[in-house]
Amino acid sequence: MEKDFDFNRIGKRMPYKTPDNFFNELETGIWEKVRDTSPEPARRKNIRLRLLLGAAAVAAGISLLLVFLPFIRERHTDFSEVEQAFANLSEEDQAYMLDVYREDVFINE
Amino acid sequence: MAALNDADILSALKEDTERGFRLLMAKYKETVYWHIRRLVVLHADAQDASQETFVRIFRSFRQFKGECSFAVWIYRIATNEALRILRQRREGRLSLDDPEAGADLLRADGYVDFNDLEAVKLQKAILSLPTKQQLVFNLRYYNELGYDEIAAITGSTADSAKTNYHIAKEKIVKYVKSIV
Repeated sequence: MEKDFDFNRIGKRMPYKTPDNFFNELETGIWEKVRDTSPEPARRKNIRLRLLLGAAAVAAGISLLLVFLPFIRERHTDFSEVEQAFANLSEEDQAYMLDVYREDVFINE
Repeated sequence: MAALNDADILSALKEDTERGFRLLMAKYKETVYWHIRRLVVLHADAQDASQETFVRIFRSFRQFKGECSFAVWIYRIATNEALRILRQRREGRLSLDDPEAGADLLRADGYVDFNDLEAVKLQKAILSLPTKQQLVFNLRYYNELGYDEIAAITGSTADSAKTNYHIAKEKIVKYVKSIV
């Protein structure tokens, strides 16, 4: 199959170019941007808090299920409920979820 | 210069920010730029996305917990930045589903050497693939990453990465034959 198109002949050659001295200027530009900012501190894992939040979420889920069970077949989950649930999270957990969302390469595809 | 070790870069970043930054850039600035450039094509966009990538890495390296290798973590951030640009284009006027959209971008960029016909042809073929296949192909072909690492970057499995790579390769050969 590769008789017609030899990957080995081309290797890693690319037609792309960059302006002269580009990589040095890139490094300088980024350093100018970050030199006065301090890196975010490591996020501490508060296992007890997470367990508590998990348990609370399960309990809340069961309560909601019991209350809304009769309506479930008639009504789809509204986006505002998702927003409300998100708003109910602590700032730390909201930041964590946003991080996960941003880190997931294809979540928005 | 001896090959830079990621653990050394991380400890340098924690102890002496500027030294750590210089080491980080020495090892990754070209890798990150070319990885992004192959996906977004336009030099200006690749420059923006590379800047954002390193700003994010610099600001959040303390959040890196070692669940994956430092290189994979960097590739994920870089890939996200490249995909952010592609999403912006999709929301704008350029359709990424159009197999010729990539070729149009190549023509639009001032930093492409059109004298290297074979290399241009290969890039056109790669750009005609769906984004995920482009990503897998590039990471394997140009960056020589293992399927496990590619899977960790793309959020898939090693088997899926392997399948995507072989499908991409076949499509590239087919595309090139079609435009000979």
